[in-house]
Amino acid sequence: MLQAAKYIGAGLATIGLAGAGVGIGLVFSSLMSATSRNPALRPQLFQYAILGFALSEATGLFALMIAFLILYS
Amino acid sequence: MPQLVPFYFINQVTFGFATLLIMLYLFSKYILPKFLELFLVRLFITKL
Amino acid sequence: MTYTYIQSPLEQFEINSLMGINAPLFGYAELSLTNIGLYFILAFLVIVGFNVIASNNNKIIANKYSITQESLYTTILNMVETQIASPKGQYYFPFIYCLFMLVLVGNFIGMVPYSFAITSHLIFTLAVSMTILIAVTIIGFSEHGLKFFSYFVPAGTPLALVPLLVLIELISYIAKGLSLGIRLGANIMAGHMLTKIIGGFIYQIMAASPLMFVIGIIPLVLLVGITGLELAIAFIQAYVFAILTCSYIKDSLDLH
Repeated sequence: MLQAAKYIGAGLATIGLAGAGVGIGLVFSSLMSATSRNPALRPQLFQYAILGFALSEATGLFALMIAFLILYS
Repeated sequence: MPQLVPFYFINQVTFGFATLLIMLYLFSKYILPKFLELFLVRLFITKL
Repeated sequence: MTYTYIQSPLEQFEINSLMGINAPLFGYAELSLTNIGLYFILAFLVIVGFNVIASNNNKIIANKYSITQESLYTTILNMVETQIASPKGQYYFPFIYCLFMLVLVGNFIGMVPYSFAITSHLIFTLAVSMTILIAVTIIGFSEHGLKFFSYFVPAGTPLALVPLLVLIELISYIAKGLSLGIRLGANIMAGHMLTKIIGGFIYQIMAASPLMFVIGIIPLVLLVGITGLELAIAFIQAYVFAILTCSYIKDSLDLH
């Protein structure tokens, strides 16, 4: 019973990854539109995009870590 | 999760901070000033 | 019908004592060399050895190692100079350099198969990030005195909103120290577990029959791609850790 509840909870916790996926997509789509408007700024914009990618990916990983915590402890 | 076994907390934190502090001392005292000196010498040779 | 048992993917993070004196001194303290301690010493030796080789016997002409080292040096120096714009910014360069090198080499040593990732241990990363948070608070108090509390009130707020905003800013101030450590630990841990789980599945597929062995090559190529992504993440996380530390120091030096 507890095991089944754990599996259900871990599965529910991974729903949070949807938000992280949307965030990463937004970061790179705006990088693309910004680069197509001003290609000269590409190296600097890419640096900021990598930073934004790491920050928004981390929020998804928090949800994943909660799932692991529920599943394995 | 094996990360959260409290038996080894003090051990790993001690090792981590000992490594970081020894590294900080070595780098700020000996290694990084040497590289700065090297860059200054190169600047002196080429520009001045 | 055979039932195959999947090993727990968390097994690779277990700490065990390699050698030591089994004498509990104060509560949990124990004098022993664990495998995480061994890998800390290994990372230390790699970093210092790399920097000593890169100095090339004090010659002015660079060798192969020193080109790598000098490009890392200029990258971090640029980062510190652009983030911490105030004249005291250079002062923090050795600390950022050490932090970046330790996290980077720790991540890369963790990517070696059958090795141990020191940065996947949440206690270590949280300890470092909370130390940075406390240090940043002390820097703010020593620079600005009691004016440091104006950090928690953004300029131009109406008086009625001040208690609420102070509470929100205080929570976000503590949360940024916590998230710095959890981000690094969770990224590395999730990456290692992902490769382990997919590798276990591929092993079961390929061990089933000769036909499945041929089909199983397709996910194996995928796994190689994911490992390449993990190598990229190992670098990006070290970079993000250093750049966020820079921006926290700048926040408390300049008060927004």
